[in-house]
Formats: sequence, structure tokens, C-alpha cells
Amino acid sequence: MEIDNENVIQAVIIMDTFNNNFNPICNNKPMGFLQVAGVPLIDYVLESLALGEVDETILFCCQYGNKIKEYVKECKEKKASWSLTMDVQVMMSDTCQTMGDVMRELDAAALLKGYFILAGVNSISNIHYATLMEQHKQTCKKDKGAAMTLIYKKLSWEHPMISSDKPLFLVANGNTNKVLMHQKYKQGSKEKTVSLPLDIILNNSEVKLHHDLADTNIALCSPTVPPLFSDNFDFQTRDDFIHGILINEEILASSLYYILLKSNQYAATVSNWRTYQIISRDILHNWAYPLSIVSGSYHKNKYIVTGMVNFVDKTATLSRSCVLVEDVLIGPQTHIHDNTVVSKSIIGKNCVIGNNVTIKGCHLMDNIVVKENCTILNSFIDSNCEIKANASMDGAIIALNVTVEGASQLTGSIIESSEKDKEKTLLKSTSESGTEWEESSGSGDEEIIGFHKTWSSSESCYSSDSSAESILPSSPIPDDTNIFLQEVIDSLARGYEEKLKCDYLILEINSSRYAYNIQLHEVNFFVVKALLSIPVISQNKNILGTIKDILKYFRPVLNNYIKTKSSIFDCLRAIEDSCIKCEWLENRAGQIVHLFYEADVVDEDSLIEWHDELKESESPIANQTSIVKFFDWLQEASEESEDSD
Amino acid sequence: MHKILEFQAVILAAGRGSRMPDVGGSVSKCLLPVGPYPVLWYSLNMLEKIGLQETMVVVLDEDKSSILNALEKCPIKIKYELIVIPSEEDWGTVNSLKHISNRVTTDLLVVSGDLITNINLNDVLNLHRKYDATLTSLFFNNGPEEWIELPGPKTKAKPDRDLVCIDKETERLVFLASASDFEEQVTIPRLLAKKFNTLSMYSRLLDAHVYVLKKWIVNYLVETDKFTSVKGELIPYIVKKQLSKPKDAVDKKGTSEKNVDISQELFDFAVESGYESKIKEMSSYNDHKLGSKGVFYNDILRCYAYIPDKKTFGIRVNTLSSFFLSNNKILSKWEELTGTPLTERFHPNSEVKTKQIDENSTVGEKSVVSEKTSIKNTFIGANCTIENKVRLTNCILMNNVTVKEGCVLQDCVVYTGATVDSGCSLQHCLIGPHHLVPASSSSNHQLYAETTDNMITLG
Repeated sequence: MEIDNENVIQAVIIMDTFNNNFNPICNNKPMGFLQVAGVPLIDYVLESLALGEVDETILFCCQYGNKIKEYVKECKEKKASWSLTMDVQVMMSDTCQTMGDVMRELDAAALLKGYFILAGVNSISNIHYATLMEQHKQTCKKDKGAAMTLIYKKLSWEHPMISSDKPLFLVANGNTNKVLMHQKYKQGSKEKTVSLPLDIILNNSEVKLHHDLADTNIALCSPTVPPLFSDNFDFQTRDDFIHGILINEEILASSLYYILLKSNQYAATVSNWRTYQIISRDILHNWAYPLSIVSGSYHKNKYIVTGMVNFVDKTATLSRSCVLVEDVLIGPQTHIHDNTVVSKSIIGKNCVIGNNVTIKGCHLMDNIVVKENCTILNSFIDSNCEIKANASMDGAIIALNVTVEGASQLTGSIIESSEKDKEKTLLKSTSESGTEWEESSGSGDEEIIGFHKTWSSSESCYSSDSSAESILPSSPIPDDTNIFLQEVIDSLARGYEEKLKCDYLILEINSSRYAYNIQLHEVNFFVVKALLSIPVISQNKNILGTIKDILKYFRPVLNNYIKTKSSIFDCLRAIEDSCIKCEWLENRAGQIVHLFYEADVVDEDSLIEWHDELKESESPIANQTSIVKFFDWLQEASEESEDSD
Repeated sequence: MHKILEFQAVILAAGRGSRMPDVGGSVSKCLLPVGPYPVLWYSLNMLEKIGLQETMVVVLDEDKSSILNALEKCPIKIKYELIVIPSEEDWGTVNSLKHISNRVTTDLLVVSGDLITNINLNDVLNLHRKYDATLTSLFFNNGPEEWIELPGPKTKAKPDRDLVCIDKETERLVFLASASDFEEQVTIPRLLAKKFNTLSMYSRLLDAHVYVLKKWIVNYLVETDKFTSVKGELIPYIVKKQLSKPKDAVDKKGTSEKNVDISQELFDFAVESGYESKIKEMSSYNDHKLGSKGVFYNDILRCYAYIPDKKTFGIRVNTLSSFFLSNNKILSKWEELTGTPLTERFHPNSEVKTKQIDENSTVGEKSVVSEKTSIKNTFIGANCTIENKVRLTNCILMNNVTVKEGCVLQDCVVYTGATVDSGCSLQHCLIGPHHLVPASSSSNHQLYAETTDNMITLG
């Protein structure tokens, strides 16, 4: 067969996600080996590319390139179905840190001959790439500057795929599908309005507005894309690229288009644990057909399908009294013992599940032993783990080769190894990643019916896909109390600077308080906190002197708020909080409390009570030398005064 | 032709034509001549075509007799009842609706008196019936407005544009605002974008000012004083209210105890009678595919917009440009607009002596067109006199106009009773009523009128 270079369809698969959403599971193995419903991601991707009539695929690895290379070689030897129609190359580069680097590397290597498909290893899709590519080429004929066609899947707003990622607001020309605006919202953002420039509307007779799209992480690119990345070193991620193009459309002479998938086409990105769970379920329910757990290289898998979407391998043994409720996949050689209940879970090869175990919403990889009476909910357990008897866990993520002690209780934690000291509790991020299989599988349909749960705000700090951001915790969302605090700080700072009357400041604070609906005890807390956060303090060298001045100046304000015993406690808690959080107050807690004591804001009894509380709650400042000293002094002083009595 | 009994129609023809250039001495907007008939006739004809038996026409007091006179001369079968509103008071369109409220017994079809279109209004009514809509409106998607050089002094005023947001899947009209309400950013409720999957924002649609309203909206209007204009206030209000939910009965009780005479809310009128809600519950029909919401997203208020395809002719004669354009096009579109062939291009009582008059020109009653004149694409009203050696191209001559010997007029509008003295050469000029253009004038883009301060508004 003669291959016409012009019409060869090339695909570039980026084998890394450049984030740590799947830590620690993907710490020491390539992302491509992460199993979704028992099949590694790389197999889905290669299979779907082959089905989509892609001729050449470049797997670009920034880490573990050799492992991928071996795997591909192995598959070729085994004559995996995709290897017959598609040529697969593995490219490696250890220096690439972002997707932008990858594109620049590709540009330098000049491997790409023309139009190509750009996708991540985490995109699972059954779309026919060749047809979409043809569409992209048609677009390019009309608009020479068309650089990229983005592929989106339209979902209902309530669909968990949307709520578990950053919602996207896309504005496009209604006739040409040219993207005009692309804005990502924070997850769980409560913004009430969306705004778009008037120009966009007036310059186009019809613009389409989309706010319910799931990003498939698949794009069709023109030959101009790699050079564009090379020319613009600030393009790190695909989003950077999109924004750069949209802002500098004229300078770069490039434009973006989008395609919405039809209702029979499936595409989704495994971007975090929650989407992982949703996609696993979709695959079990055959939404991604012809991609499935028994297709392609896995045609030898022999599952017995019982009712309620339960897949059981022929070689698995189930006890008579165990119950598979629904959406369960049991791998080969796995044994499930008596009275165990499994629902909405995937269990890999060679696992042994003991008696009276409850497994719900879990992903268990291979060679796992779960002993009796365990309860495992919404968790991910990597291979070769052992869960000893009576353990219970919810939303836990357990890495390779871990032994979980008997009767341990784990909630929202990540366990990387058996040694106890390495156990770390991932606060919010796991309870978020822990996996709401429950809600998400209300029905097997993509259009979830009866799914009404709104995600709580604690779930909103899911780190983003761009590598730079994902390391840093996302900044807290300014909620009302934070805004209130900021306003109080501003008022006080201004009042101090301009020597305003304290009465006015009290009025100002009170009006802010009503505006943000803040409770009285919170007001006390925040006023003191604000006092200690006035920027003047940290700018001044003589910190304690400044605080003393400030206390003196704001005496009337403090007198207004700190009157009762409970308000004194609010005040002390604020001091504690500030001393922990503000750098400039580090190791000065004792002195600050002393200043407050001297200013007669707090009394002795409350101080002693508070001190006890500090010790009890093991506050980080309880053992600070300054605090210890202060209370020693206080003790002595009171004893002296008692003596003199 | 079947009869329509479930809708009553009203034509609002009391507009003063505030967007037309003020050239002193007013011609009522609905009596502006377009082709052989006044504008108002086209609206009546359109209602007649869809099978309405009768209609109300709201007109200004002062115009009543002249309208009656004008309509008498036109072929009309539909029964029309003129309802007058006082000319002195500046009534808005909502006031007009209030005025006729006691005659309204069914859902109401509100048509603007300055509309000329070839659309079959049944399409709009069917959309209203299909979704049991609160409000149905009609927008034309004619593409960019044809650019024509307007008579009169040049201006740069741009017409205000409507921003219309429509969900294509459900045909719902979900957002309506004027572009001038925004400066740089347009903000729309995020809820809209979440709820509707196929939103499209249009900026170049022409609002036909055709509305089908539920009867209870008229009842609501009677109770409230919030609105004066249907297009500017009432429609955007209802469109916006679609997103909100009626207050709970409990909430309301609480407030009503505090303020005794609480004004009634829109939702209090939107009470579904009979089995509608039960049918909705039991039916498996849904108007949208994605999501978990019931039919119509369980909304009580639902506004819809009908957008006919681009070929549809639709124009509102409310600006000089549309007036000019409609006269330009009317004869070429005559058959599809009115459904009848135009038999009398020249009125039987007129005297047309020239042979150089093309098919796109009309001559009104008792007008005299002398020999050796050349007339192209020109409308000539009643009692006009066109003397020898006159050339008229793309002109509109209203009644009692005299054009003396040897004039050349191109793209001009000559108002009632004006006289153009001999030897003038005018291009793109506006000549006000009863004005005399002196002999041998030659000008381009000029306004000839006895306005007090030459203040004119074009737009």
C-alpha cells in the first residue's frame, strides 16, 4: 500500500498530565498504566486511535519513557489489534516540564508532517478521528489561520463530569464555530453572572454561548501549532495557548474553532479521582463502545455478565452467600468469601476478599488481600496491599505494597507505605477525590436523572491541571467573612493613618458587619485579628511598640467590642490565630498577650482559663517561650498580690 | 380559510413616528404611503390573510378621521374597530393595552401598525399554541440591513440594536436587552447558561413588534403601574421573570401582613387552570434532551421567539431608511406580501401621459403626470402634478405635490403639499410639507423645511 504523506493522520499523545492529581498512585509508574475498569489508560488510547483510523502515533513521554517503550514493544510482539493498522513511536524527553515544552520539542524534532491530533493519555473516547480531522481541514480551507479545533462534549449542567472539573464558559460564532471567548471558572464558583464583551456580540450576528461542556482534552491541530508554541515561550499549557491565541488573534494570525460531539460519541478526560470514577462506570455501562473491557487487546477477557451490570471473570470464585449489588467488575482468580457485599466497585486480579466485608464505590487493583469484617468505601487500593481484619476506610487512597493494620480507621487519607510515620492525611483534597460513586451513578445514563446534589464548598480547592498551579494550594475563595476581615483591616489602617475618631470606625465596622451578615462573636474575633494585621505593624521595625501604640489608639474600639467574658475569649482566640498565621508576630505571642493585659482589654482570670485551653488543645503557641514566660510572670504577680493581701 | 377564534388581535397604530425625521407638520406614521396604500393597511391585510375576522386598531384621537378616510379607499374585508386614545397625553403602548383591557377575552395578538411582512402569522400563533406560551414574539433575521443612501442631511446616528438570546433547542426567548444598556461588557445571569444548552445571542435581529400574550398578562397590566412601553419594559420584564420562581405562599403571607395593600405579583396571575399541570406531569414529552428537569424546566413563565428564515421579507416602517426601503421594494414583492396581484398601479382617475414610467412606479388618484417625463421606481401620491421634462428616480412624492418643469429629482422624499419649482436638481433631499423649493436649486443631502430651529432627528 502506498502511503500518501499528505493524508497520513498523525496523533501526538502526551503521556504525562503534569500534575499530581493521581499521587501517590502514579508516583512511580507512568500515568498510562493507571487502570480504569481493569484496563490501563494506554490501551484505551491506542485502541481508540486505531479505531479512529489514525495512521501514526507519537507517544511523548517525559517520565518512565523506557517502561512505555517496553510495553509498546511487547504489545507489538503480541500483535495487539492496534499495532496492525497504526505505527506507534515513543519519544522521550526528561527535560519537558509542561505541555508547552513538549510542543517545542516536537517542533524541533520536525516529526510532524502536517495536521495532527493532540490528546492526552487520559482522554478516553470513541470518536472517529479521521472524520473530525476532515472537518478541521475544511475549516482550515475557509480560514487559513485556523490553528486548532477543540473538541467538547455537551452535557447537562448537573452532570458530575462538569461539577468535578472547572466549568468552562465558551463563546463562539454561531455560523462558523469560531471560538471568541474561553473562560474557565473556579470549581464550585458561585458567580451569579457571566459577562462577555459587547463587541463580540455586536460584531457577530449570532454567537453561541456554552457553559455546559466537558473538555475532552483532544484537539485537532494545524501545522502551525508547534511553531506557535516555539515562538511564544509563555505558552505552558493548552489553556495558555487558547488564551494567547484569543488575545493576540491578529498578531498571531491564528484562530480557534470547536466541535461538539454528537450524542452517540463518547469522550472524557480522567483528570482526577472523581472523573476517574465516573469514567469507570461509563466504561462498564458501555458508553464508550467500541472501547470496552473486552475489546482490543482484551478480547481474551471472559466475563460473565450477570444482571445489574455485574461483570465476573470466569476464573473468579464467588461464595454462595456473597452479594454483588450492581456495577461490579471482578477480575480473574479473585476469591470473594461469605457474606461479603460488593457494589459499584472494581476488583482486579488475584484478590482475596474475606468474610463479611463491605466494599462500595471502590477500585481495588491486583493481588489485594482484604481480611474479615472490613468496610471499604469510596477508596482506591493499589496492587499488593493487604487490609487486615476489621479495618474501615472511607475515601482513602492506598499506594502500592501497603499493609493496613487491623481495626484501623481511615477517612480521607492517603497512605503511601506501611511505615506509620509516612502516613499523611490529605485534608480536603482527598475527601474530594474520594469518590462520590454514590451520587454519580444514580442512573447509568449520561444524562443523570435525579442528580441534585450541589457540591459543598470544601470540594472547591481541587488543584488545577496546569503543573505550576497544582503544586500550590489554590488560594482560598474570598467568602463573606474574609471580605469582612479585609474591610475591617482597611478601615482600621485608614483610621490609624488619618487619626479618625474611633466612633466613626465603630460605625464603619458595624455597617460592614451587617452587610456581610457576621455574628457578633465573629465580629469580636475579626476586629482583634484586624488590629494585629494592620499593615503598619509588619512595616515597622519596632513591632511591639507599634502594637502598643495601636492598642492605645484603638482603645475605644476595643472597649466597644470586648466587654463580656465570652468576648474576651474571642479576643484571645484572635490573638492566638494571628500569632500562628502572621509571620511578623512569630514568637511574640507572650508579649502581645502582655500588651493586651496591660491595656486592660483582657483580665487575669480569662487569661489563665485560656492558657489551660491552649495546653489542652495543644496549640502551637502553647509551648512558645514567650507564652510560658508570660504565664509564669502572671502566676508570680498574682501570687504576690495575694500575698500582699 | 379557517377562522381563528382563540385569539383577538389588536393593531397598535398610535405611534407618532418619533424615529422619523421631523420635518414640521406631521403625517401620522400609520398613514405613510408605501406603494399604493398606507402602512396600516399592510397590517390589516396580514391579519385578514390568516383568517382573523375582526381586529381592534388603537389610533390617536386626532388621526381617527384621516385614518378612516384612508382605509375606506383600500380593499379590506376584515372588520376593524378604531379605538381612540387621547392625542394630548403621551400614552405608551402599555397604556393602550390597558385601555382595551375590558374587551380582551382571549389571548391577545398584538401587532404594530407599521409592520410590512410576508410572513404567515399562523407560524407564530402555532408556536404559542404548541408550548402553551406566556408570550411569543417574532424576530426577523434579515441579515445586515441594506445600506442605502438616505435623503436629507447625512447623519451618523446608528440604530440601537437588540440583544436577543434564544435557546435553539426549546425555542425559548431567554434574554432580551438593548445594546445601549451595556457599555463594554454584557452580563447575563449565569443560571441561563447553565440551564439552557443551546443558547445563541443575536445582535442583528429586527423585532417585528408582534406579540402573542396570554390573557392574564393584560389583567396584570391593569393592576400594575410599572410599565409604559410593551417592547421596552413589559417584554424584557417577563423574559427576565422566567428565571425566577413564584414566592411561597407562606412568604407572601408574611409580607402581606406587614404591608396591607401589597401589589400583586406577576406570578399571581399566571395560574394554570384545569388539567394543564397534570397533563404535563403525566406526559413523557420533554422539550429538552439533557438534564433532569421536567418539561419546560418546570417553568411557569415561558417566552418564545419565532425567527423565520432569512428569505422572509419583514420591515417596520419606523425610520426614514425603512420607509424609503419599503417603498423601493414594495412593488417587487407585492404578490408575496399581499397575496393578490397588483392591478392598479395607476389610479383610474390619474392621468399618466408619459410612456417612460417603469413597473416599479405608482401614481395616485387625480395625479397628473405630463408628457416627456421619465419616472423610475417612484411613488406618486394623490393630486400630484408632474410637469414636462421632469425626471424622477427613486422618489417618494406624497399627496398634493407639484414638481415643475425641468426638475431632476433623485432619491428624494417630497412631503405633502410641497412644490419644487422649475429647473431644480435635487439628490438625496427631504422636502418638508408645503415647502416651496425655489427655482433652479441644486443640492445634495439637503433638508428643505420650515422647521423652527432646523433640529432634525434621523435614526
